[in-house]
Amino acid sequence: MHQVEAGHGSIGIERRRRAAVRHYIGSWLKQAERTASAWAVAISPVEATVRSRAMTARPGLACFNAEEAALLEILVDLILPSDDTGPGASDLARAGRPLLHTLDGRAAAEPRRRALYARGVVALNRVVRARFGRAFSDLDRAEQLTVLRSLDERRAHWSAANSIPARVLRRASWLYYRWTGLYVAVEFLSTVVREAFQAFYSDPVSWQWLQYDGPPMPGGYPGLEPRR
Amino acid sequence: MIQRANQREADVVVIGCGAGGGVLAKELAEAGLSVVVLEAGPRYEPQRDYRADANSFEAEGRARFMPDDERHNRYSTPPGKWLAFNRAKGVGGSTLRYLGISPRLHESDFRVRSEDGVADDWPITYQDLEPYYTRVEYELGVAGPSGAVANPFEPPRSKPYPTAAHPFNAASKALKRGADRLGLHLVREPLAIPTQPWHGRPACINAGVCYVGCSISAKSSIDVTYVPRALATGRVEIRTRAMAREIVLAADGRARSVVYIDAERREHEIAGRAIVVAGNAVETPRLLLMSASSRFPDGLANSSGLVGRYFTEHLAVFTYGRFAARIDPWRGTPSGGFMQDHCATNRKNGFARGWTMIVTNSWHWPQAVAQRAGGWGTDHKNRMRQLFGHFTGLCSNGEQLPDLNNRVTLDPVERDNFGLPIPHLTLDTGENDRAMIRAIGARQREVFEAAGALEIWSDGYLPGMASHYTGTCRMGNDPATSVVDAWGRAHDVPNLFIGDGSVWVTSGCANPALTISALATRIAEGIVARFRRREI
Repeated sequence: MHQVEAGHGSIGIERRRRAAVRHYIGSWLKQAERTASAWAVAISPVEATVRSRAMTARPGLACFNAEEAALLEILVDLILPSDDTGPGASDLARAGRPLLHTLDGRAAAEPRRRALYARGVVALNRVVRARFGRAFSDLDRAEQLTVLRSLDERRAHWSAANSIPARVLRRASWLYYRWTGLYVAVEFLSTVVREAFQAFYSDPVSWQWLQYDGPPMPGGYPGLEPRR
Repeated sequence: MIQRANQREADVVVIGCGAGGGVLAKELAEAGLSVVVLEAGPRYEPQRDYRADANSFEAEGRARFMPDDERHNRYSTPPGKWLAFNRAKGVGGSTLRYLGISPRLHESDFRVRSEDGVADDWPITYQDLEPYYTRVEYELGVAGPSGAVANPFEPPRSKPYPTAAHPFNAASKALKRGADRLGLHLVREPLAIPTQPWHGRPACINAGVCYVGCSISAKSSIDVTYVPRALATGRVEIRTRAMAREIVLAADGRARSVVYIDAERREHEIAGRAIVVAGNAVETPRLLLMSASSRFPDGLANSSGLVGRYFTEHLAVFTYGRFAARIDPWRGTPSGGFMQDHCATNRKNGFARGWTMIVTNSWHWPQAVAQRAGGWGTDHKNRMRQLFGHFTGLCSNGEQLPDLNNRVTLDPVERDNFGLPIPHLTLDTGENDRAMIRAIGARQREVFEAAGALEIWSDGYLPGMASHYTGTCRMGNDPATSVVDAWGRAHDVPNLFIGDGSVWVTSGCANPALTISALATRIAEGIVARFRRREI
């Protein structure tokens, strides 16, 4: 038979005590990072601009102001272009369901989401101004794509698995990037991509393109073979 | 503040209403016992809660079965270790989420040590459990293949499957061509989704929504099968959103009552002549560990030190392939057949035990595929067009060997929404496991190659993603090396029983729900016999 380790022996207690201490230190570090991150965001110039931004929604929208709406319109068109591959954001707009309105409605219903958009637009423009001296909307399409790709590369770089010292350094650098706005801009792009996909791929415009039948209920799929 | 005003004694208090607890409630009540079931989650109403007819069905489905307060499902892992702990809380338990895959364990699974010299034997045999398997299959209306298309690796059965097997969809057929070429047996897996009307429920209509809730109740989850039968006896009361926090011992060393917290955070106490814990292989040891007392300083019923030990899962390796033809995997059941050719120990492998390979046709709806396609812009759309309706996957139930050091403990710091210590999950792979993981990936790739896939990729082994957790209160004849006896009764506490996957000794390579229910049926029979003999 196998040997059962003494769970309540002195060795067991010592090991559990050490595990608990490690756990406490880990939790404390997590808490400290959270607090530092919140501070980095709070004192960042992005936050000051967010606080002073125009609060009136663009006519026809529930919450996005003119600057936010203009930037998001460009962004969703870059994320889901109407091109040779098939329909995209502008086709959805033509069908009377513009992505901007869907995003606007969802943001208006959720204060946290609303704040994320406000901060994201300011941060993205700040990052772009530092590099091009202009706002995102004033760049040409090729420049805009370059900006988005560089944000993607940043994200890939951050999520790449590497050594423990590199991870510690990266977490420290995030505090700085939270302050400059780059971290917020990277998060913002992936949020808008996710939200745009959710709206686009739950719409018959994309289903027709993909030759997808639509919701599984109430009828199910009587035939198991593909339709075409 | 414990409310003792509405304290009431039941014959049996069952904690948890899933594949174990729901079955126990029905079996105990039909034998004449009164039962109170404490379920931590809510009761879902399929027609109201599982609608999948709106354009937003996919996002709604993703959010389904999540607790109102996300802290309710918290758990922690050692630093740097990632582990998915998937389960659903609610009447029906994780069968709310399961795909209905209902194979039996094989005969050799009960005598692993005798056959392969690793792990341990169960205190029961396949033959002991066979009649209970049959009873559960007929309750659920399991659909399975017979005759020429039957699974050649299936253990002996006393009765045929209650309903005929599901057909293959185009995605499964594509993989079957590869399996046939390799001489493997890709057959329809037994599914707890009847193919004809069963006990008042309609037959499956191939909507493929099993994972997000079946609005017509064609999937035989416990809440639409055993629970209505349990309630029909008039002797069962199910208290939902009731989170058990402690089992209290009486002076004579027997379990006296359960203290639980309701949705309004009030505490209640319910006494029972017998108490059955069936929370799953994580929540059950968690509750026993939270119920430590002067008599059991290391956790209730834990004189062996094994409560929470031998935490075991199925090794889930995922491989995908893209085909030139359109194969529309979303049509029909999300699980699309399986191969048990590799279940038995193969001396050539250089490791013990084996695995089942399952065709996974789940999450092929547009949003899920868009996520997989990744990126944005024209590149994303090109990839989307390439993938959508053109790829499918194989996953696996690899038999992980039980390891004393894989365990469930109480987190010393973190708390859930009720202020209870969250479970801390340690699960590492051993040498045998890692060799098996490599072999599974290689065999999966061969199937896709033989099937003519244009492109093959793998997610590798994803810890916890099989969602099959077992072993943390193992059964056995020796109180020094097991927590419960062959009838699920705690060695240390004569009226305390465990009725879920925690009691498994080894994990086999069969999806666990059917075996959990069969064991629960048998454990219920043991409890009833003890009541009849007036031992409880």
